[in-house]
Amino acid sequence: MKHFLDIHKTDPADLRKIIDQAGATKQARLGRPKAALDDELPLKDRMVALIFEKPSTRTRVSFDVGVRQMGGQTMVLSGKDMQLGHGETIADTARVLSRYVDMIMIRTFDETVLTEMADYADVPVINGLTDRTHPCQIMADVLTYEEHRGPIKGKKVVWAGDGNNVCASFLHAAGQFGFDLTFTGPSQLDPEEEFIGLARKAGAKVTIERDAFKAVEGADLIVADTWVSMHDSQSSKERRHNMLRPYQVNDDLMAHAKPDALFMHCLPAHREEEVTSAVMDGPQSVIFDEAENRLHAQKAVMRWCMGG
Amino acid sequence: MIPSVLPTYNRAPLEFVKGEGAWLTTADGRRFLDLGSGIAVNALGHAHPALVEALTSQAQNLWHVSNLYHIPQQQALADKLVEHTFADTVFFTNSGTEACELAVKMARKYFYDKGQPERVEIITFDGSFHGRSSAGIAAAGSEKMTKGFGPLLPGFVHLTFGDLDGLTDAITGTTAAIMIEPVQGEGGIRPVPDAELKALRQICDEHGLLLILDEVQCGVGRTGKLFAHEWAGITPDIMMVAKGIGGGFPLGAVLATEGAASGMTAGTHGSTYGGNPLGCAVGCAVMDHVADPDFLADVNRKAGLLRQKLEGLVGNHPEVFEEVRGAGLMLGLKCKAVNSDVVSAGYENELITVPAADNVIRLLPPLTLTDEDIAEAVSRLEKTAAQVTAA
Repeated sequence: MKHFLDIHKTDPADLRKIIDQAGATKQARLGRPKAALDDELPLKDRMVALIFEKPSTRTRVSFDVGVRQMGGQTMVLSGKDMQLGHGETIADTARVLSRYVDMIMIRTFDETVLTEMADYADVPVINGLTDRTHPCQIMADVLTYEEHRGPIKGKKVVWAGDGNNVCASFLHAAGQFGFDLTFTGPSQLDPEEEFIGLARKAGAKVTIERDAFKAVEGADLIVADTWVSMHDSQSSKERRHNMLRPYQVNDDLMAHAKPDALFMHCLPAHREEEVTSAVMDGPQSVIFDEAENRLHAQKAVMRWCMGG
Repeated sequence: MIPSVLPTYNRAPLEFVKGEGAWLTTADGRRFLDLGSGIAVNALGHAHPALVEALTSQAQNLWHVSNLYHIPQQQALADKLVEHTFADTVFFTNSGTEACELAVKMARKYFYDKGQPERVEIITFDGSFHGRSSAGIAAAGSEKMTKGFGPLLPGFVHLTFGDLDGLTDAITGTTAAIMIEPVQGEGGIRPVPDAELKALRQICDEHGLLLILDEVQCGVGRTGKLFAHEWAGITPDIMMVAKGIGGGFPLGAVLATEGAASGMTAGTHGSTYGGNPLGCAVGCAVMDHVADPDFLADVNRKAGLLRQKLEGLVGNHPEVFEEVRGAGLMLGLKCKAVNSDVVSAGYENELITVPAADNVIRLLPPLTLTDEDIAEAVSRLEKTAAQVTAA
């Protein structure tokens, strides 16, 4: 069973195949209406369950549209309605869903829900985000970088801000795709040691540099994410803002990176907080290509999961 | 032979003749960058024009009349403090430890007047510092503070910092209050997590106890809020304030809710100098600056910048430093080297820091520190660290 649970759990050759497939399929669709079918329909007659325990815009729409473009159908389920892990064990839910659908994408809080689902499902399971990782986002990011600047291997990526779940998947990707990753942010928000260790073990050069301006020297790509999550209280929001303010991606910071450095953000962004509008809307920003590429990258992920 | 100044301090061999902003000058013209602010006192830096003006113009009119009479400057400062905080009422002292004396008296009198005279005990935590008065040392309770000074003022229960389980067990029918610093200063810049402060507030409410916060060091804009407890979204019943509130002029205060202060009627407490026109004129000028949201926003911005650079310093000198801790511009560098060696090496680089417990050096710069001062401070800390490493 080919699950797509985390970037470091997927073979580098397969990751490369997925990125190349995503790029090719994107090219083949140029100019077509959004709901038009692809030339090949690897999900024809397939049903995909999209489970959301957390709200979502990009993940939901891109997976739903992607499945349809590949000839399949979707069933969007809310974790709350399903009583995931409350009324029924995750294992039982996985077994039941496997009788109805051909693939499961799940966006959840606790990573163990994802892994338990994969352990007991008889169909591929895709990680649509957990509190620890967000591999689909990083597949889209790699695709986006390579579209604009060629191979990401050997490049310097700088993550600015909170060492969160998206940053964790960037660390995984650094090992698998062979790029260097510099984290710049406050020590309280460092990425987990385990993720840094994995990336280093896989051969990636991972650096922690507290001075944001030093961190971005020689950077090919700068990535930021929101500073505050929905569940943070007002006072903790302020504290995080104060802690993270020196890591804002603005024109000054971009000027210290390579002249052709790109800026990415997985969105939604809080303008003038983690990034200024001038950078988001500026010539180095590729955020909307990145958002679009969620669709193409995930289609390739689903295709790979189904054996394509 | 005993020196003419009682030798209770191990003083550094430094003598300053002038101060301006974050800089101190010695008689021989050496300029020191002051990251100590006289232990968090010079909140607006040295010789801030607004404070100089407030003090000198008041000095030309009236110095002292005693609390036998109304003091308009005292009223004005109390009004400002009440306007910007949880408090309904304020009593002015000359120092932090005098504020501690009143906080203890106020808490006990509150229960006495409520018909519960047995409720006299105040729970405090290890590593705390509440000044050097008899109540202050008894409250802190450490051997270092109390040895040789017995018999100590009774009625304090000392618990381990952060031990909430032990706290619930320690509360009895004789407990009156919990007293805690939201960020321990002398104890090594140890912030109490927001969740813990919230829990303390809740425990006090559940058991009918008073929550006394000692914001002598962490208050008055030091952490980027006017008072540090605001970060946790709670309010105390009684709060001790001093240091920054006078900007260098000896001034302290106890802030309280109407309920907590209800026992303090005429004749129950007093101070000859507390709240005198000079101190309160300066205090008003300090509050006019520190309570301004733009000023606090700038403190937070600078605190982020300094912290960022300090994290880099720790990363560059892992043999000297272990971690950065603290909140706002109340930061501590936990040392691997001996902290007093780092402080002394700092003097050689014309940099002033303050040692604390737990092998920490404290950085308590003026809140008016500039971005250039921050860059210079980190550069001097880098030099200092290199020197300590080489030694």
